[in-house]
Amino acid sequence: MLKKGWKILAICVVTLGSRPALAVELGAVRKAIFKVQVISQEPDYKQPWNHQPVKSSSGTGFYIGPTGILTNAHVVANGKFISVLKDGDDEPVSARVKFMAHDCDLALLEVQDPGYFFGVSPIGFGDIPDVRETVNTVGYPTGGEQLSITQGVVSRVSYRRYVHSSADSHLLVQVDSAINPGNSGGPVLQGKTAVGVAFQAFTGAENTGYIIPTPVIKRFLSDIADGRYDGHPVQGFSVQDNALENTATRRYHGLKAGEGGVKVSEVASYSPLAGAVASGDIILAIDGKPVGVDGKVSYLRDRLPFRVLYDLKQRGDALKLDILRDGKRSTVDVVLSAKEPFYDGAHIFWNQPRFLNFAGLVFTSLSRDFLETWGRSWYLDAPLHLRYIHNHFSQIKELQGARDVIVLTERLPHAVNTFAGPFMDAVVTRVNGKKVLSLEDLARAIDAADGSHLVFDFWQEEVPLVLPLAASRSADKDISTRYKIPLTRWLGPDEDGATADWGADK
Amino acid sequence: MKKLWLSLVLICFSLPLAAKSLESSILRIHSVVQRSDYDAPWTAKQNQRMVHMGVVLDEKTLLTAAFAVKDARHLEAEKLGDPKRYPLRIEFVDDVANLAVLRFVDDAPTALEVLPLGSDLRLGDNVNLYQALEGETLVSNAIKLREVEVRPVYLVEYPLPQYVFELRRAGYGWFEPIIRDEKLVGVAIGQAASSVFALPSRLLKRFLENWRRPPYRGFVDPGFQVSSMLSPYLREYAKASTVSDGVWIKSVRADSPFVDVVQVGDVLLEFQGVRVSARGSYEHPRWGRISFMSQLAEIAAGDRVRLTLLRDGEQMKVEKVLPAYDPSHERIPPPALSQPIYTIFGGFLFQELSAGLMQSWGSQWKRRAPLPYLFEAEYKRNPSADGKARAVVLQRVLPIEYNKGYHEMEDVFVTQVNGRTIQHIQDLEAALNDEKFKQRGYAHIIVEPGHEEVILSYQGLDRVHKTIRKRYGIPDTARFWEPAH
Repeated sequence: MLKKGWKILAICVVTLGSRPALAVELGAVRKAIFKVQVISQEPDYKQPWNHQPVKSSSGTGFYIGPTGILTNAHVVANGKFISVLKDGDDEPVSARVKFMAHDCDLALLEVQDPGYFFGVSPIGFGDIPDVRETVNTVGYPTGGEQLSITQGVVSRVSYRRYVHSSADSHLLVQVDSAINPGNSGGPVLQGKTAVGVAFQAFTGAENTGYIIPTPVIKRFLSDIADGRYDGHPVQGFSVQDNALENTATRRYHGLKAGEGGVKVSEVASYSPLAGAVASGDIILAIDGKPVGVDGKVSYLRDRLPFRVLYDLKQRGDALKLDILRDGKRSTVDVVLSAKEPFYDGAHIFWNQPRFLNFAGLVFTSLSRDFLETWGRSWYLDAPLHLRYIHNHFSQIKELQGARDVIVLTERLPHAVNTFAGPFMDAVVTRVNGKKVLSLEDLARAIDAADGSHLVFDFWQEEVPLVLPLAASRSADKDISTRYKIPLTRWLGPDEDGATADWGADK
Repeated sequence: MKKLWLSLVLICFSLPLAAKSLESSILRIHSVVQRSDYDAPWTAKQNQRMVHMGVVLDEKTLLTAAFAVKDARHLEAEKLGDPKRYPLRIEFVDDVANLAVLRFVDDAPTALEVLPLGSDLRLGDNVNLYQALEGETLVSNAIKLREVEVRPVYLVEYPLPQYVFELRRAGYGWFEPIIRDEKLVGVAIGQAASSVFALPSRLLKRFLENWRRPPYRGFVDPGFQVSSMLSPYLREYAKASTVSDGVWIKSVRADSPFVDVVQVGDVLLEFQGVRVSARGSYEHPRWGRISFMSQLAEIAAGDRVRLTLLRDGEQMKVEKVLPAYDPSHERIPPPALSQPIYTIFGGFLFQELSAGLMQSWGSQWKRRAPLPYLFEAEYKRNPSADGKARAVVLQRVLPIEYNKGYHEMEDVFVTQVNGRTIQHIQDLEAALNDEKFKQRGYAHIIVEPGHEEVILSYQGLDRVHKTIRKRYGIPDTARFWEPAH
């Protein structure tokens, strides 16, 4: 994607469109649209006990009923203080994140006083709009204080990457109105109902904006109905796009004339499909819907990748797949739950990255955010082995089942760790011969170690790092004091970065 | 005062005078080079004209760099002041030493003078580097030996001791002779920033003596890699605390002569009887502390190599007779072996991964080449025991109707064909000739990463290959897979 010059940016705000806005009467809906103001602070992924400077930004949100104000996750990510301002009001009120869904870039906010919404009519949801239909993007883009309305036309419906997490693809709708910083999280309306949430734009072309359509929003609302956000189902399998367009391949697999399907190339051990679907299988249909040779299914009025149907399920839901294997047809039912932990390469947005500091050596968990500390061209400049793990985790046998890909990221110089320099950015696999698949494993191995030495083995490194155990333990406190480290380890929970609350005074 | 002026005058005249007398010993070599085109391996890139320097060995032969004659289609010598060009042919090349001998095809320039070899330099010695890539006169640069570094030569990843001189101007490293007291003491073979690297005279001497008294005894490779052992804790762990010297053996190649006697984790204490420090260095009488690997320059194929190791606290001595190092055994062949090895099957262009192929991504290839290639080259480079294993890649697909559905595939490793593990192109061609699969009518190809399976028909391949040749302008000489009869 990046190679081909695509630059899709998630933006914290909305813009004025290219076409002159027609007179759109929002009426009572205006009161349901809020400016969301956020003070945020991101962690420092290289020195995970530290945080970066505080930033302020704003976006848009809209009231959808007693559940709260819907906005984008990226608007409130890492939010330390969040406030919402009603159209026409002079004083913002504090808000906090009730549910955060980084994978689909949605968040639900709540305010302390339910009476705040008195007289505000919630905005309801419509269907996914048709191509060429007109929609209005409403919000608070930068450049002014007033509510802005931008009219646009639906260009296409597709399934593609959401920039906020950078690892997840979902259904989205492209519109020809530009979406600018500040628009994000605002409703995209047809009449008085929302048909989507404005969330990202393609900067490589003019007036190309994207909105999160209602099937994704409704899936989110359904997911949180039990009081917890679980996320979109894990996939963990790859298919060979278009392979079954090949005549010989079709004939070999015994596909009938006119029959479609998509060939599975790899199923990761953590995938919900593991054990039910194998490499070389042909997926003929998903939940009874035939899959074409282009890997697409009929969805609403479009043809979209079959993964759309998978992706709109809840975790734990059942999925029915019609399979062709070695000339035999069968139907398999899979439960959409991951089989084991894995590295997904998404942005994590935790308040505190997981880390462990021992003897001045800082171990942290690999993430996209950590890789991005190598700068804008991290995908070229970060260490080769880390980029390889990021891109090909499922193909590295030694790391399967890892909750954390443990990276030795920093050395706080001290006599006990003088010779650890060459191991920076190496990936720990064993401590004293014992396999470690998480930072908890690492902590246990270090805490339980006895004998004279602590021996760390690293992935693709043929030399171990050896520390003197007793001296390292006794140096630990001294190092933390010397380098002013307030927290020597953080092993979770994976707390979300948005810790804003409405304060103790209310 | 008069003496001072006289000295200055003498200094001013001495360099041009010396340069003039050297014009009978230092020649300019013009080459027309045609590099392989890894993107279209059945053809070659546009001709390039290059200029290097050469040194007279006798009235019929010249010494130059191996990289100067690599892929050369035409070579000729020019003696400064003589308008005539003299065609040359390649007499002998050692890619590891990065040296080549050229012989005049017919006539040679008159009054050539042999440049005698001098002895090794010491750190801080002052010498002159002569260059005449352009113009009519040899230009002299006074330089001082800054250090000696053990580093790979350009064509192969083989460590050799090289002089390092400081020269702020760019444009050196084209086999410029380095001279002291009218004797050849080195030749420049590379430049990085303001450092000019040169082969010392002992390497020139070794090469020439070997060439003049065949059979040529090349360099050797002990086939293990080491890592410094400065950490006292690593020493305790390796039961090597009783000594302060030695390096950690971190890998032993499958084709190493020492594979059955040296293990990962052994501590190498001595190499050829010379103590190896914890940093992997030793005290050279002229060059100070340099890598113990510099001793490889003193060892020739057929020599016995002696190691002293420490394993589990016990010292042991091992020795082996080492064969010549063969760069063609590398799993990812170095730039010296630059011929692309490929085959085409049904429009699928398969090629063995090589340094040349990766360098086709341009000067930034270490960042731009596909990540799996870079990873393979960094972490999976060690050769097999027989030295034949290569990484075979599906470079791209030449689209026609026959291979529809696979047109977008590119830059992936071929791991299996018709159920067989693939080690090199010949393996792949043989696997495609598997009778069982041919009779069933389909070839199966597995590529990684991603474990994608390609199914192609054996039917009508002749016609398919004809179509591809015609449509993509591929000459008859190109290597297409052919069924075995």
